[in-house]
Order: sequence, then C-alpha cells, then structure tokens
Amino acid sequence: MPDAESTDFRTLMIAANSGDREAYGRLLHMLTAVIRRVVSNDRYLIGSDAVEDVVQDVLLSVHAVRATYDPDRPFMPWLLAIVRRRTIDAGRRRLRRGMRELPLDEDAVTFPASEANTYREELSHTEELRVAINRLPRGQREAIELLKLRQMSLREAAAATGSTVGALKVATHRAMTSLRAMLKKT
Amino acid sequence: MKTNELIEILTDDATPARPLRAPWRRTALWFAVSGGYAAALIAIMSHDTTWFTRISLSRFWLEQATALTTGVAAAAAALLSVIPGRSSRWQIAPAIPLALWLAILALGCLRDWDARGAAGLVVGTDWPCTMAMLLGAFVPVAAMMVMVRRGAPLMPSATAAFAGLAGAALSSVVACVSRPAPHATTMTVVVWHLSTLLVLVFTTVLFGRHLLEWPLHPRLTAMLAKSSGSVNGRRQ
Repeated sequence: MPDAESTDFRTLMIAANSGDREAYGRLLHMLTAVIRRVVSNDRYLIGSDAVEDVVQDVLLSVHAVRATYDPDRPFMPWLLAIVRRRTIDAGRRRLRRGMRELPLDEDAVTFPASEANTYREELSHTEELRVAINRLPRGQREAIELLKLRQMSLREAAAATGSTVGALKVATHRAMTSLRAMLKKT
Repeated sequence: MKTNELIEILTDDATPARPLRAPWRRTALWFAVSGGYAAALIAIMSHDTTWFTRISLSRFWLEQATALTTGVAAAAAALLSVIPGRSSRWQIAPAIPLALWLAILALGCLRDWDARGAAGLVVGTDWPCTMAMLLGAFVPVAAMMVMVRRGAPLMPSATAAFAGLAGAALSSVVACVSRPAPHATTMTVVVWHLSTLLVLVFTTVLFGRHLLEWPLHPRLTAMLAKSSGSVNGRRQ
C-alpha cells in the first residue's frame, strides 16, 4: 500500500469524522476497492460468492466504529483489523452453515414406482387444469390461486381473502379432491 | 443491495463522530468509577475499624496491590481490545500481575503449611466472601461492558473475559479489605476467591459476548431496511 494513499485515507477519515459527507463518500468508494482486494484473497475461506457480502459487512463495520479511529495513528492497520475480523466472522458463518446443511445431488429417480418418476416431465395438461380450476366454487378457486399458483403462505392468503387459515385449509383440500376427480375424467 | 447504494446510505447517515478517548484515559475513568464504588462498599461492609492495623502485614497489602494491578491491567486490555489495529501484545499484560498475585497466594499456603502443618491447608467455607465479591464486581463489570460496547467487537469473548477479570480482581480487594478473616487459611482465600473469580469471568464471557455487537445506529438500520427490505441478503 503506497504511503500517499494511506495518508489520503487518513486525511479523508479525519474530515469524515468531523462531518464532511463528501469526504466520507470519497473515502468509502476508495476503500471499497482495497477491501475487495483483501477479502478476495480469502475467498477460499468465505466462498467466492460471499466476497461482496463481506465487503459490505466491512463497510458497515467501518461506519459503525469510525469513532474508534485515532487520528494520530496510521489508518491501514485500523482498517485491516476490521477486514480480518469480518472475514473470519464470514468464514465461521459459512462453516456453521456447512455443518447444518447437507448438499444433495439431484436424483434421477424419486420413488421405485414408475408412475412417481415424473422427472423433467413437461406439463401437458395445463389447459385442462385451467378449465378445471375455473369450474371450482369461488372459495376453492381463490384458495388454489393464492396458495398453489401465487405461492402465498396460509397467513398471507387469509389476510388477502378475509378468511381464516382453517377455512383456507379446508377449501384447498376440497379443491384438490375436486380437481383430481375432474382431471381423472378427462 | 448494490455496494454503491450502501455507500450512499452510509454517506447520508454520516454525522460527526467524536473519537473515543485514549484507552489509558478510559481505563482511568473506569477505575475512578469502580474504585469509588469499591471504596463505598468497603466503608459500608467493614465490621471493624481495625483494617488499618493490617498495614503492617506487608504480604496482605502486597496481595491486594497485585489484585488491584490485575484489575487495572485487565480493564486496559478490555478497552484496548475494542480498538482496531492495536498490537495484541497488550493481551499478556494482565497475566503478569495475575501470576504475581497467584504466586503470593501460593506462598501464603506454603507458609500456613509450614507454620500449622496440615491444619494450615484446611479449606473453610466463606460464602459471605463470595457474596461480597459478587456485589463488588457488579458495578465494575457493568461499567466496563458499557464502555467496551462503544468500540469494535473484534474478539468479543476475550473482551468479555478481560472485563470479568477486571471486575473480579477489584471485588477481591473489596472482599479482603472489608471482611478481615485473620483465622482463615490462605487456602480458604485461594479456593473461595479464585472460584468466585472464575465464575465471574465465565459468566461475563457467557452473557457479555452477546452484548458486544457491531454498533449500528437504529436510524441506519431503518434506512437499510427501507432501502432493501432487509439488511441481510445483500448482493452487488
């Protein structure tokens, strides 16, 4: 790190801490490149896809503890200590997540029965399904549209329709039974 | 949220930030508050007024001096640990007076054993001493936690441990000076004081580290939430 750049950071930081927003904006933009470079060196620890998240964590942390910067001391050790800590935090988060989650390969076969293996099967009865849904009573149709097509939660759907969660569950169950019966006939 | 958008939000939120005072000044402030509290407790809890006669007991006062130094060194270590970019060599500073304190206590045990044989190593019960320590540590630990929360939680567990040690060492002085126990063996002091000290340090680490978070102002949190719906899940 060139001394001139470090001096610039220090000058801008002092100005920023005294309330100069323009200087602070410039400082953060300049720091982002430095932080990204340092964090990228540890991408094996945090994962390549998390580099930008850690850069943003560091920026937030710099902002949160900017009062701890002593103008009489060099800037870079102060910054790098924060970068190191936030990188380690991200590495730990990744490790914990890795211990909780088990990556699974996509299975070509789901169940032994051949009827159950609809892997990559194209939907071929969309028109019949649309017609069948339209033939449902209004309450059941609304339940299917909100819960199955728009993927709303039961609570959201209940709020949207003014109904209760229990009533929506019953309406969905009845709608699915009716749809199965209608599609079997076709 | 894109990084440039985050920078805009942070820039908008930038108000003048008054730099923290130098760690040694903050240590002095902590000692003034905690020392005043300790002195008040000693004055309230002392059952006799003969404590000053123990001035002649050089070992007793040496023990208190090393405990006090341990407390101050741990307080300085806690306050330095929340300043980014400081050398980590200061972390061993509390270990020196702590080792000296333990050595003096060990020497006391040896003297008791030499003078009274096995009876000199008997461990008596000393619950009042533990209660005095818990009471004596309350304000110093609380004051230290308030002070370190203004800094950067670079290593929350170590900071909390230093804070616990600072309060516990100071409270040990409160317990020893306010509750003279001339008949107690040094082993009793070792077991009860050090056990209470360990409990205090462990409890402070257990609860204190959760209090040490990167201090985002609620106004900024609200601005971030408004901008992206959530502080988490940022992407450029």
